[in-house]
Amino acid sequence: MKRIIIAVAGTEGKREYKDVQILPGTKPRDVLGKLGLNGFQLSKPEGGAFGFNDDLYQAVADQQKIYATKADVEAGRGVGA
Amino acid sequence: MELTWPPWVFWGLVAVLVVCVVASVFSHWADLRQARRHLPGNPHYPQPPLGEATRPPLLAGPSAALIVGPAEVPAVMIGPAGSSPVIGPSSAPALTVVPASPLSIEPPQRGAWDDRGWTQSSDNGWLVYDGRYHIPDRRRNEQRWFRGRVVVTNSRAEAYIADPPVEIKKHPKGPCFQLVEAPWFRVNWHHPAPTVDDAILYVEKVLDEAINR
Repeated sequence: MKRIIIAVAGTEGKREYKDVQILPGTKPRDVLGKLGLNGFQLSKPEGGAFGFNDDLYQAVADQQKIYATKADVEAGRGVGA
Repeated sequence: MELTWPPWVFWGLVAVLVVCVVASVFSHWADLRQARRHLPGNPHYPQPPLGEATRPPLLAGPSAALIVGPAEVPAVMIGPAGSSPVIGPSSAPALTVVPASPLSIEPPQRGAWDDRGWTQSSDNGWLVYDGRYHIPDRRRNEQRWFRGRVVVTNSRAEAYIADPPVEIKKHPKGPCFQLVEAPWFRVNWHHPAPTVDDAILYVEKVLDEAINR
């Protein structure tokens, strides 16, 4: 069992889920669903993003902080909002 | 076969026996007579000369009991010296040593830009964030850093990157990185990032996909 911290990006640390315990085989979508973070994705601590079906337990260290970012952010060719 | 002695042998033995008995009796009688001479009152007892004190008879009997008891010399007392030290609890206040309570330091609340070491400044009312995008290159087994800037205006974060990796050209989102002013490229948004954190994390996601996949 590993304990991680899920911090919502863009909240300046005000929205954090501490002491999130995950078991082997836990996927990012499991964590996001449990925390009610629909429409979010988990970012890798070293850069990049987790796929929804990646093995989160193997990829994180105990007590590590993981950021949840908006999944609908997307670059486009010259078409901006 | 019957043993027979001559008669003269028998009578000879008898005679020798009688002589022995007589001699023994005579000797005993002589001793008794000699002992009587030394008894007082016996006329044959040698009388002391007149004028001399009569010595008391020597009486031989049990000696006086020898009583062995404690010596009259006062016993040597061995004990603690007169000024013996007294060992007891000190009157000084006790010093109590306890383990120090650990100092717990909890990091303050901070955004992802702050965690990644980006700095914040202000320019004409806009918030400007400067820092570096960080991507581990798993093929080369090294860390790669790219200068970046994010300008937040009206709830929209404009992301810039200096000298992006050449691998970005093969990424589907590569054309979205447009040169503004060398070496700076700006990210065109389809769905813009609302915050600086979302902008930084999205750019790093694209770079990771370009470099490591």
